[in-house]
Amino acid sequence: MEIIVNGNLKSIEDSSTVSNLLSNYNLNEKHVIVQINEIVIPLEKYNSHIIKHMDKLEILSLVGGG
Amino acid sequence: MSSFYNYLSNWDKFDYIKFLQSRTEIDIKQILEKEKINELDFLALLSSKSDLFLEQMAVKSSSITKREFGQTILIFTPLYLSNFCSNGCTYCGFHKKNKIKRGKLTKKEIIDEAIKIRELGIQHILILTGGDRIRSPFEYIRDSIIIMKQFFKSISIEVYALSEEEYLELHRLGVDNLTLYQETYNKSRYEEVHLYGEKRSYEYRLSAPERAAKSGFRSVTLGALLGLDNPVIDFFKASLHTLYIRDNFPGTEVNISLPRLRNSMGNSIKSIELSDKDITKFIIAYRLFIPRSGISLSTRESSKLRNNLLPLGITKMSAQSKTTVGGHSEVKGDEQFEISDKRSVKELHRDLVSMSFQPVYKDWDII
Amino acid sequence: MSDLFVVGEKKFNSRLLTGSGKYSRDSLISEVCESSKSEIITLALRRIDLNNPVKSLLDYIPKNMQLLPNTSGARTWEEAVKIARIARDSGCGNWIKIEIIRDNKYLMPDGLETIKATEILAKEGFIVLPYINGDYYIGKSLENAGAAAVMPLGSPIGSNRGIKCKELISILIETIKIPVIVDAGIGKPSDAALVMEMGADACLINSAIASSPDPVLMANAFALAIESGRKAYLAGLGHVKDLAQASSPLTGFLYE
Repeated sequence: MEIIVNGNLKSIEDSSTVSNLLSNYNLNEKHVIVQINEIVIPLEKYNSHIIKHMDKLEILSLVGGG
Repeated sequence: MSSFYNYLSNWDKFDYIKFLQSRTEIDIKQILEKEKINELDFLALLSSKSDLFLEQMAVKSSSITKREFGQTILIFTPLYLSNFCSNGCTYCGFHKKNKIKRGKLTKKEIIDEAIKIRELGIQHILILTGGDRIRSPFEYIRDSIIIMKQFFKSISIEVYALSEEEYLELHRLGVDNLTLYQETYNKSRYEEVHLYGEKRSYEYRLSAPERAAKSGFRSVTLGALLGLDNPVIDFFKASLHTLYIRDNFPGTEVNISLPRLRNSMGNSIKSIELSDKDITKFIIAYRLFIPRSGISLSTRESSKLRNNLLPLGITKMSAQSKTTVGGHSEVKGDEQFEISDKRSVKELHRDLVSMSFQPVYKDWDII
Repeated sequence: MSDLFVVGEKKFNSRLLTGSGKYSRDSLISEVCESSKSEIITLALRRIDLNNPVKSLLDYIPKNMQLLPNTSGARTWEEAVKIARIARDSGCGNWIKIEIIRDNKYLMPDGLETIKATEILAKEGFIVLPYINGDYYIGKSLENAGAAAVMPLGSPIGSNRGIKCKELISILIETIKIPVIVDAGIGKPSDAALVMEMGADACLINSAIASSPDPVLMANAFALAIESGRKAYLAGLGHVKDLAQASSPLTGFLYE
């Protein structure tokens, strides 16, 4: 199925969880903020939250700023 | 909603006498070195310790006034609509029980009076009435203003305290300025000298300038009737009142007036004498405290004193005043108090020009 | 003497807010936090670079520090509100520095958009610290909109020519009842001391620390300057001015 991650189309396996996707990108779960369709997913739900076809994901992180 | 009443109550426990007596010359010197002075600095300047520094203060006050206002003086004149009054103010000639000739101008008489005053060159008018909501109801004041708008560029009112809706309506009709004196800021003294009538409510009067400012009035002129109570404390609180309006209603310009209690007909109280030196000190200390405020000095004062105080901080002067009803056309009622500076508008104009001041007749005229 | 900096109903000992941007290596941030004794630190939120993931900034920030995420990158009030909500939902707390910039040349904060964003976020319970031009009306509107403080710029960003907006900031300090935190344009500790002497409540320093060859030492220098300026303000400056005497006395009439 297809999803949109940070503005780009991406194909992933059906019924992937957020955790699956993050490990696919080699991302440490604790270092990112994941938003699906404008709603922030809490860290403890990364394992159970199933991503759906054409979900819009934003993977964000805290960076330096003034 | 915060109000000046609440603000002033913060000062309730302050020991003014002790503070004023314990100021030193060093205190005054230090204050005069400051660029901006705060409330307590100002109060210190009103103490007797500043007597030795009057000239220094005057130099500073004069230069601030020049910086903020240039060499200009606004000229206006009062117009008494009515001297009926239902209040018992022990110091006032219009006191309800005084046996004086009472009168109230009709529409036609208002026009006659306005024509006479306009012929003098006056464009700023201050409308006054006695405090009587029955004989001079709000509608009477409102209708008089509508007439007056055809003759004058700027209208100020000095009438009984009104409600916010009433101020709003007058503001919409084009009234620019509210002039309202609290008389005394000492609540118990206030109740002593206002025996009965609507004016007896200290708080309603105290909050009137806020209501006017909230309604959009361009300017307010406040003051205490100096001599009713301790003049230093009363003047200090009147100054705080202008400060409060300035800080909370940035769209409203503030002015202070320094009326000294004079003997009027039926004046039945002892006043506390305020010397020329004191009133001079008040004016220049106030100028250092609130540099952009207007300062008005009435024809109660002599022409000599007015001329001398002019360069020190005065920005507004009344001229050719009559405190009678119909004084410029046909007198219908007795005067409120006696005028000391009896110069005509022309004479005042000539004196101002000779002192290098520009008399201003139209300060403000909305497009 | 206790002279605490109160903002958003929290009390702080330090009046130096630090930023977390522009460091040569992120690990410097923890050292700077320590030497500056700062208790509030700003950070930003960005889409991750999926090809080049980095370590979380939070690992370098001492746990007891108040996080102040900013809305940098936002060009409209809608974008700023969105970023603020994400920051809160992701566990950064409810503080937000609103920064809405629509031009790339001068990097000026848009006051009108900032007021809208502040109104909405303050109603949602955010502690809102808007970054603004030192404009009197904008400041008043933000105060009425429920801002916890205002953050006027000391000078246009990056100018590093001292406090160019001095007079405007001093009007804000005089008229605004919420804390005034001077942000941007402070290049040297002496600039920070100057605005603190004027009565500013705090300073936010990022670039001037991060771009110093020795950020850790510079952070400490700023801490001392801010403390020094604050003490001078509390003590009261002693002005000495000469007063000219008029040739003919102005008050002579009183003695005639």
